[in-house]
Amino acid sequence: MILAFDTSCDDTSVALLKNKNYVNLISSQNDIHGKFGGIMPEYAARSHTETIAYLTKEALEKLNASMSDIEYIATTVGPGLLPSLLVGVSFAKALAYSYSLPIIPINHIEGHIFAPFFGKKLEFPFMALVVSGGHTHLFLIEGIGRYKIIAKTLDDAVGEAFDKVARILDLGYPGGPIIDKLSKTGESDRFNIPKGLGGKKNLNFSFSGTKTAVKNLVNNHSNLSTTDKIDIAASFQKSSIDVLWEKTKDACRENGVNKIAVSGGVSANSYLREMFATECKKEGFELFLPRREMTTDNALMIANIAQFKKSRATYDYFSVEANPRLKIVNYNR
Amino acid sequence: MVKEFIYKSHNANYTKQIAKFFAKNFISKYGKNIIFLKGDLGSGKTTFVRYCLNYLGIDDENFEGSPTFTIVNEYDNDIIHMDLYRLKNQSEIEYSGILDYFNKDNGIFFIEWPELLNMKPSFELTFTILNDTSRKINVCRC
Repeated sequence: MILAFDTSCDDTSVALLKNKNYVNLISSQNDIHGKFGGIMPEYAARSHTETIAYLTKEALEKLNASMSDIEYIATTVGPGLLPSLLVGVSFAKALAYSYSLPIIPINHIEGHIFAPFFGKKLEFPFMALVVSGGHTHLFLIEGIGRYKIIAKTLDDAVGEAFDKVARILDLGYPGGPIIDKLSKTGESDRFNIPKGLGGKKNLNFSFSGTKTAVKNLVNNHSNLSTTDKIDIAASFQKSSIDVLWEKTKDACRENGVNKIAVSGGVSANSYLREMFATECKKEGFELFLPRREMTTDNALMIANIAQFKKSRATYDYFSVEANPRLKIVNYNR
Repeated sequence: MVKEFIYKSHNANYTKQIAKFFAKNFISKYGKNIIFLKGDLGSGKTTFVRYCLNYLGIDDENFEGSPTFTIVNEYDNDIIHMDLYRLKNQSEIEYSGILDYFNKDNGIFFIEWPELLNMKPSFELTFTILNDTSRKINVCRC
């Protein structure tokens, strides 16, 4: 059984995985507020410290397991915010030391990349599109540890653009799910929102201009009705997701790949899911999407990739260190 | 010493020139540079930092993008790009641990949405949207 931690950013997450048996606890999604006698701060490294031991205990209870069932401890070591990362890494090391267990250090992004294959057979090569609040990246994945960066955003991540556009349109927080929901009733062809670096040969992304286009629309039209706002949101969503598809498709063609795995918080977007599925069918591509609980930051995806990295397990706990700048290193073919 | 410079930029290319001029002439290679960037969403703060970093030797391939979600993006040579947009009050700043980054004698700190930070910056840059493509950039030496 693998016990996994992820504290790379806002959420504390703890997971247990053995064969098909698993539990995946995420602080923002679990009703743990009551246990602390108040509302947890939306963002706080302190909350990781307070939450991680409690979630670990709860995870073990849920699977009717104890620490003696654990064979490996996996933890995100980067990239992320250092103070947050340190909580997960230190807790993992302390537990490993106390119970003499090996640690498997995991790159958070690597966790996302393989999340769509959870419970499925891995198939290489594939194009991984990682889309979240902090990332908009395309990677060519040829095997475990054999990765190549194909493209990334030059400014805002797509999930960040969703949140900021929701703020500009005064639709509320979190922006991603709200825009997703409202867009279903909106007219996505009504406003022309430019695609960042769309139509260019360059596979890199840019969402800063897309966000600013929405800002300009709002600045130039006083008295926008709710319908107008919903139509703007729908038009923005279509423009952003369409450009993700176009570049992913081009990246696949250029690299002779016919499998696509989309992950990260934005992979929960329903327009993205439907549109990618339809287009992949047309192109003859195979699409892999994560189950919804594995789209946002979670520890199950860390346990999932750890299964394939058991050879990296170590008892040299001093070698396991938090690294906020941890990169996916290009593999040389 | 002139304390305030006001620029009007009508396109991204001109903003790039301003950023380059700022990075070249105003940022000190020694000591601690704390640069506050203020202004509305979409006014060009992140883009300005990206152009400054390009001048400081970090090309687009190594630029980590907007730090809104990550809060801190670190680069070589003690260059830090921060964004406090998602932090709502003093205690969130305190518990996020980001204040530890300032316990250094030197470095270049670009800080977007710095309003909650209790410290004196070396420079304060204010970005104002004039129209769809034009921006006013106010550079103030503090």
